[in-house]
Amino acid sequence: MVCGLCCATICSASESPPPSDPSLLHLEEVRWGFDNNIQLQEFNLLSLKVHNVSSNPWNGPLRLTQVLPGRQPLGIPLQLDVALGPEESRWVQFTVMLNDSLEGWFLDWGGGEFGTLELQTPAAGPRPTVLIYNPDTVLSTTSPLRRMPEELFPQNLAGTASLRGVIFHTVPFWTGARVRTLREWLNGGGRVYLLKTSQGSYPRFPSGMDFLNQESNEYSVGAGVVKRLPFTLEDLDIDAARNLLFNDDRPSISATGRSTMLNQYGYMPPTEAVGWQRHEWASRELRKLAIFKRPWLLIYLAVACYLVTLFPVCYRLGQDHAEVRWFYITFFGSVLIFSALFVGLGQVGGHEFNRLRSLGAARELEEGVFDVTQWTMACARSDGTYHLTLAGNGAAVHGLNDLEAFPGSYDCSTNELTMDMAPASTLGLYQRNRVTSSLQRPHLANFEQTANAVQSAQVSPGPDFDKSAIAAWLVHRDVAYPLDISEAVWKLSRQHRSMGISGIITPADQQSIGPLGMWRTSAPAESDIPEAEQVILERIRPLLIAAAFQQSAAVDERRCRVPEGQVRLLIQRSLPDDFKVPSADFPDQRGTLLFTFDYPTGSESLR
Amino acid sequence: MYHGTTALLQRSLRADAKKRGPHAIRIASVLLILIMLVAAHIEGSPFSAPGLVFFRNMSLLGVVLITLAGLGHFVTAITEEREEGTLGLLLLADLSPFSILLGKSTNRILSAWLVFAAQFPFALLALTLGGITVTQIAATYIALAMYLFLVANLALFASACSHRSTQAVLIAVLLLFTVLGAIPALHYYGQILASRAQLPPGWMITFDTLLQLHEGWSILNRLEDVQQLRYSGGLWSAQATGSLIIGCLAFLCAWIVFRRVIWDADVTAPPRLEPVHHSKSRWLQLVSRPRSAPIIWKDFHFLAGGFTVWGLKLLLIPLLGLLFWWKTDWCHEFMYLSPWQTLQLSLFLIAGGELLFASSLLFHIERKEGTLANLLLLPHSIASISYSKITGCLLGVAPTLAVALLLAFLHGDLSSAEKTFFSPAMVLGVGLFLVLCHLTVLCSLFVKWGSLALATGLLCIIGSVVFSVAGTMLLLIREGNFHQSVQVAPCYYVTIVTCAALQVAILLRLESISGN
Repeated sequence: MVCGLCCATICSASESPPPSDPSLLHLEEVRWGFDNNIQLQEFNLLSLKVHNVSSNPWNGPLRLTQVLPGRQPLGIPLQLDVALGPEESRWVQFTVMLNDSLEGWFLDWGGGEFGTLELQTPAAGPRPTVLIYNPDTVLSTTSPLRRMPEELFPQNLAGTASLRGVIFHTVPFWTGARVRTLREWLNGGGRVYLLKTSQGSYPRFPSGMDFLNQESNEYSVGAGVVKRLPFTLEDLDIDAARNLLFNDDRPSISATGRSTMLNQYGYMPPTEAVGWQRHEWASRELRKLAIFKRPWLLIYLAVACYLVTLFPVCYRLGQDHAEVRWFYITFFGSVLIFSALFVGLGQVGGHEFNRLRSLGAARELEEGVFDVTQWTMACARSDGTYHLTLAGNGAAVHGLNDLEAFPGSYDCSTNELTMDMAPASTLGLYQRNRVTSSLQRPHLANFEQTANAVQSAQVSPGPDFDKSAIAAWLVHRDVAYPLDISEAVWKLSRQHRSMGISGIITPADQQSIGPLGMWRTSAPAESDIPEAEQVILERIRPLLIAAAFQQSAAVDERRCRVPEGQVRLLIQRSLPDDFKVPSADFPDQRGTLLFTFDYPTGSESLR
Repeated sequence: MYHGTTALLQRSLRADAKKRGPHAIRIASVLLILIMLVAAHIEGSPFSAPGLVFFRNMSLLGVVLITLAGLGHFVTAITEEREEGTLGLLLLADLSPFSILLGKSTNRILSAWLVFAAQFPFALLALTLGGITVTQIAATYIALAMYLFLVANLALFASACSHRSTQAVLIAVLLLFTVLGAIPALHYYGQILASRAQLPPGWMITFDTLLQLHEGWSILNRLEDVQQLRYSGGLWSAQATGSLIIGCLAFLCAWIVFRRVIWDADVTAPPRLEPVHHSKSRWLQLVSRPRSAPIIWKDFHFLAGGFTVWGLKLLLIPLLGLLFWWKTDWCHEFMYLSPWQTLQLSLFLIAGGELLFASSLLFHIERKEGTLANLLLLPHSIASISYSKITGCLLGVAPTLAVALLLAFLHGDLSSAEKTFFSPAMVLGVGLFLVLCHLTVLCSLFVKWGSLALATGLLCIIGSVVFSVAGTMLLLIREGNFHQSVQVAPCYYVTIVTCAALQVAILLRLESISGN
């Protein structure tokens, strides 16, 4: 979850002033997402306009908790420290994951009648394309476009997870974090549409946003697209909006077919291959990696011995001996001995430490900066309260278990996660954040392609990937070509065939994993014989590739391809130190990340 | 001095060590824990503390089973001796009332505690699932052991006060509700009345105080306290102390009552109804001739109450309806239902209770009276005799069921096939009820007393093991967006197969009894 704070001054870390009277803070407006619709199974923006009605400064924490009907808490409670000047109004933002529309949200800023509010989850809708506008200006016409005030555009990448496209008809007054977020979101596959201003020319963006100033009518910025439309806002009608703005990225459907679907649905539903519960899948696999191993052979032997002691040993003693005291002595003695034995066998070994196991995808935004989507499972050896400060900044967090409340909370101001854990228990979380790292980008050379396939390519992995890589692929259009990583310079593998991305992330046997995996594992996965970590890491690959291509609950085939003129390098490697969580409470951290690097195919570096 | 006092107890302890039955029960309970543990491990719980969740479910099952045992096993400690006419024999053996109570009741408590002790090592295996500590497991078992002590002694008091087991069960239910449920119920309804400003302010404070007091000995509160994510308390608690004190008080009260009533004559068999000769003074013949369906006639008139009960029901049902209409606001407030729906629900519950009661007595009464062997000698098949008996009981329930169905039809609940025959909740509920009735009949052929409690306990145990698998399968079918008929088809199939299998088991058991 993200905290998009509008204010810079908050309580200092060392001395926090006492919270103010909750009745002096009013919640004036609530806005979900970009257009008051939400995307399920995805991070969504929640914007709250708070107003300090008193003539004194107001400070205190805002706590947001996900609840089921009946106010049963669910997921990770979020806390954001807010400080407002006298009679000041401000927007504050959270980034929350929504699983279904039955869930509600409970906001608390001091408790009692005036310090709590229950928020209802709005309806789910398609990924929005919104017009960014200045709320201080008056729009002279009604428009078919959904609008979003420019001040609400998120300041971190996780907040843009549910956004499809933005439309500019004027230059927004953005600096710093918002500009960076726009650029990184666009690089990752966003769509920007430029309309003409009322003067008839296209908006001219300042230096920080000069990537939108190119003269072409349509061009790529990373994996994203910028399009100039020869309309002003007033000229745009609903049909033009649908054809040119909302569904322009589905060229495979004929105009007739598209209009039929538009009329029927009002929007184009994304192609759904197979629905799948990615969080449950990740949680299940991570738990296998994270849980402490037990001496199951000894435990089964002890169980058998105890059963034999009860029957026939105790039974024969009772039958054969005239003095029944021997039966009772044997019975209670065996209960004591086997109780001590089972306690000993059930404890975690002294050589074990609290551990974190992670898997995810890291997409390069720019040199040394990565957009990381990660699942993490924490396992505690003994009970206690543990703290994790998530790496990077602007982290959005979601608990992996949708069946119970998360025993802890997340402080959005400090990126600190607090967890109350029982012995040998696990807690899982899903996070997205922006991480800086010193990892060197691999070098791609000798890339040759034909009309339909890649002929050859060479990848110099560099010191950060040559020894730690587990697997690698080169993706051209929507096909992934496995690379042979056994050599110093990686080439296309002759032994493994290429596969379509959508085929990888929706494997044929997924039906046996997905629906059943929602509740239980398939038989070999949950046996007492611990699986090799390598086997699990290989099985989890479709999930990582899906994360690399920003797939959520439903597979969107539009995102299963690399834009023309680009090629994508995927490298799965063990978790680097830069991406580990800096925490003294969890010294044992391991995992895997799938790194994504994009290369333009026309670049000199590829020759 | 104490030899005579503990003679019966010592004898019971010896029997517990030597007889096969108690050993089998201990092994069975231990295996049950093991199966549940293995099932929980294989399922791969998605919870952060799977051991805690598993143990929480197991302890709740334990509370249910202990309560059922109180109503089925402990409550017949004295009444079974009365009804079999053996209480006088115990007195002839120069056993004091105290030693009789000690021998009959305390032995059962110690046997149950031995079962707990046998389970304890396996319960510690929950540590391997993670999320729970040894202290939590031990504290839970101590709480359950003390709860058992409380329930057993309350049941003993009910047994000492009663001449018949049925009477003892009713008194035990009242006592258990008074001790365990009355105060929370009072508090809940007091809150509703207070919200409507119909209660003086001081009363709510009193209810709050009583509730806090009640939480001191409430087993559910104690379990909730122990089974928090990080429990830092001890093994012993106010709940254990409270249960021990109340249990001892109940034993004391049972002794006081038993001393007074022990010399009462044993329960004799009720006078058999003699044929009534035709008399000019009789203008209404309530009991008709058996004609061609004697077994149906017998059970209808002697088990189900006959036309007399019919008449009473037909009088009381409209009165009940009038009462609900008169207190419409109570129906809305407490039941969240209209008077129409409240009456309908009440009648279905009454009919269900009657059917369960009839199921438990169907063959029990024949075994107790010693008439089962003679009944099975009749020139009819065992199946025919059994179905005739069932028909007789169903005739007795007919008015209640008919009015309930009529109300449901008029209210529109039965008008749609989707609402009635394709509703998963409806089909599942009716299916479970039918299985419970069949299981009760079967249990009544194996145990002398407490067949309904035993059947309910068995159903709870089976349900706790298969529930997650069955629930997942039903959910998968539902998620598949199939037609509703497909969704409920497995429920129909399982119900029919289970009931058929139970009927075969009942008939086989009857055959083996008739052979003996």
